[in-house]
Amino acid sequence: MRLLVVEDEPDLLHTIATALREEGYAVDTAEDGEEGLFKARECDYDAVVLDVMLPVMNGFEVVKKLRESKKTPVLMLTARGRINDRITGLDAGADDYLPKPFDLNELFARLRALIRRSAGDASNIIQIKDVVIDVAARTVKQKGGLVELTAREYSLLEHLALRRGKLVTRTELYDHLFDENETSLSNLLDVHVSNVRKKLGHEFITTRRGHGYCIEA
Amino acid sequence: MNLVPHSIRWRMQLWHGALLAIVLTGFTVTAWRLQWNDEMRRVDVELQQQIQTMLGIMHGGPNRPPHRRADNPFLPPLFGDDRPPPPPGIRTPDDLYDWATQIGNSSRYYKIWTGPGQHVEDSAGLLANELTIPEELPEGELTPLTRDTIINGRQAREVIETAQRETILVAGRTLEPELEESRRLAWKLTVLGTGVWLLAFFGGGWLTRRALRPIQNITSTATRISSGHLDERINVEEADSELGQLAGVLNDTFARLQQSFDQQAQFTADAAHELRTPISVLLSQTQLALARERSPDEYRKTLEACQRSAKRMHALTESLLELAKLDTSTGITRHQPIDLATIARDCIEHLQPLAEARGVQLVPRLEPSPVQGDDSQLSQILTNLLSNALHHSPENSVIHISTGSTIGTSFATITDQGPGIAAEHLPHLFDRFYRADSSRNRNQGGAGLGLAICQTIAKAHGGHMTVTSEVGHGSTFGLSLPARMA
Repeated sequence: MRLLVVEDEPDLLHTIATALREEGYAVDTAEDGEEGLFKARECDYDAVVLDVMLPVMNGFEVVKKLRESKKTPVLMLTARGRINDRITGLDAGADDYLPKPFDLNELFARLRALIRRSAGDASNIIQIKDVVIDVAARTVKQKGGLVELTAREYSLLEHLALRRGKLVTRTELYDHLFDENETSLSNLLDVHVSNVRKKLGHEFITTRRGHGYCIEA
Repeated sequence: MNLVPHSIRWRMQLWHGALLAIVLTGFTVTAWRLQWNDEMRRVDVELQQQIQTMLGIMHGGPNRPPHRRADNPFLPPLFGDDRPPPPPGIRTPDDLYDWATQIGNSSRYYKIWTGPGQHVEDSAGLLANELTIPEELPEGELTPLTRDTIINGRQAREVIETAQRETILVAGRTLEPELEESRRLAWKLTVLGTGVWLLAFFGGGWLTRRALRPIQNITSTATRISSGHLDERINVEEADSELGQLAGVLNDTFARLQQSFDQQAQFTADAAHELRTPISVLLSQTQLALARERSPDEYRKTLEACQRSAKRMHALTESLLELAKLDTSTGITRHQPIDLATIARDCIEHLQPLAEARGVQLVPRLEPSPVQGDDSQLSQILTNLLSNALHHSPENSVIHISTGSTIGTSFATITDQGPGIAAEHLPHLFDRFYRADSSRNRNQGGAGLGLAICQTIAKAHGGHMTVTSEVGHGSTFGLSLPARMA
């Protein structure tokens, strides 16, 4: 899962980004509206955390312009807690709204819900054959037993599971698993896929040679 | 229960009713009296005519109706030639008889005395029998004399005439028709008066209610406003009437109240909003740090971030407190004669190191600029303006600081060569929490209160702040105050 956080207060930006990375997300950051909009247009993020009061271009404008080309879920984050501000934000195209100060756990939960809904799932539980993935708890069980996965492995599995039955290209996977600061080698992806296969069975993820990966529903 | 009503309407009504009752009573009683007096005058004239007739007959000759004591000897000596003749038409004894009969009916009477105690002639009927010589008849009183009397239990009016040789003539009549007429009139007047009073009382009540209806309107609106509906206004129907003017004044007051309420609410909301960001940092930083065991370096970074937030909140609360203090104090506390040039010099000295560090040159041109006020507050304005200018100045640029005075005004201006400010922001620049950038400008570090504080201080000193700016050509901020008279 790859997220974009747009926030002009550097301490807060750092905190949110760190917290989200610790949750296993790949996180990109932007410090003003223009940069945020540019990045959000360039890359298919799983969700965008967007502050309202931003230099150069405010959050409402960013979301309005982003909606011209993308459907990326947007969570507005703002100190302006008035009803009118919320309405403006939601009408501009934001998907959710979180007033400052906020609880990090609530932010995580809302992001999970946004990502889940944008993939078309209403439930936190994804069951594929004998594997049960709990998106909220970030746990994976197989035949009732807990499967230990690293954060990256889990993200890889979740991304494929949310798009089960569909082909996911290597580029897409790569884009969603690593943030802009990571200069990891492309074969790292193969390592993660191979690790997941070891833990859940080789046939769980099928490879379409030259195209990408897929989990059959 | 209170017998005196407190409602103005009812009090006005009662006063108006009472006053009207007094006036109407006075008027009807007077009318009734006048009418009665008029009647009496008419009766008097009639009676006097009667007496004249009697005198005329007595004067006219010895002949009397034969059947009535024809031998009475009073006539020839009694009446001299100086008496007026009897009224025309009564010339003969027959006429006199007729007349005597006529006046001898139940309501009229007459009597003649020729000397004390001797009555000579009277009208027929009971009434005359009761008559005595009027004792109270004063000597030398002008006659004819009229008086009211009671004859036989009946109210009567009589005219007394003294003639020669102690002859006294009394002619009178009872007043039944007049009394009856007077009673009728009194009744009519009472009915009419009551009618007029009722009409006026209820008409007045209606008028009062109508006149006071705007007050009810005002009261109900004011009640709604006091219960929190600050956007309510009195409906002004007649703008020119006194109440309309009052309503207009009240509406203005309400509008200003609401405006200040809104400003206060906006201010509080802005202050809370400003506090939210550092609080968010504090909360999320600590939450993140406490989520698991961290390295000492991470803890240090967290603490540093928390410290930054705390400092920011500190600066904000200080500014808020300062504004609150300036708002609540009625004016400046210290009034000392000072010179803006001196303050500017101190200020430049104070910020010189920062200017050098940023590679900005400070160019003062300080003419005497005498003012009256609080030096620390005025110094705060100039320091604020100068540090703002420094923040926005590019490297190797120049900041001009000048002070001086024109007629009646002392001023200080600070001109930078920074990026300038767009015209749309200029009118709001001194508003609280207003930021030209629409976001927290971290480089400036403020909460958008610095210039608002400057403006508040300047206004407390009877002056104001000025700004001119053009994008790309720098800005000039100025403080202008009333000059101190030397």
